[in-house]
Amino acid sequence: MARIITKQLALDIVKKLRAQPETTPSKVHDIYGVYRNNILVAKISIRRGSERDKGHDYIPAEMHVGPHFAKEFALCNRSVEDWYDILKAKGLVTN
Amino acid sequence: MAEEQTFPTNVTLIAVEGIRQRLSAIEGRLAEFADFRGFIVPITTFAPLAYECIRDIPVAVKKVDEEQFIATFYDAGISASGDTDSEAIENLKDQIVSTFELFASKKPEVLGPFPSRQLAVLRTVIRRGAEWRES
Repeated sequence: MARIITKQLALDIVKKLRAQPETTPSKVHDIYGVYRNNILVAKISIRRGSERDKGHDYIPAEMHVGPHFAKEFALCNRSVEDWYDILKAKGLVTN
Repeated sequence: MAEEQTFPTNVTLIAVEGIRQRLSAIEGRLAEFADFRGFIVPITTFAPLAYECIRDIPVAVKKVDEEQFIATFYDAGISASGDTDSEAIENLKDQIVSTFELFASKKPEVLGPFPSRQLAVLRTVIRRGAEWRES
């Protein structure tokens, strides 16, 4: 298993999802909430530090998708609606 | 005097081939174990953070590459990575505390299905410690 999601890709995912920065006691992560119709559907965590290639291969699990979908999503080959379709199919969004 | 017994050559070859196949199968199984590169370890404390474990938290740790390990608490769907296995576990503790506080700070109607489920699981394994309550 090789590294797929780097910090840069994780930041691209946060930006694409328009995730909101959340206040938490975390000392090592920046936490973002993903909202749909004012409902928190997922959280995305970014490791602090300046290394842009730092591994973030837990992000696909936070998105409830596989690593290849997450990478394609970050690279704009998949849309936000594609992602919501997956969440709907898994019963993880109700609206 | 008994006559010395010898095996026909073809019988010997069949036996050797059988041993070779069994050895090959054992080598294959050993390679699977060597490739797994993971282990299970419990989280038993959040110290020095001001939180207490209600019960041990089972964590699966997997090596991704030479500089990345992922630690996962599957019941709550929470993972974290680190440059070493111990860093991944420490980062997972941070994720567990942060997720618990984030979701507990929200009104229940704001949490979607998965965050609601995660909070329910987290409440079975973590609580604020006396140090947190006094601060």
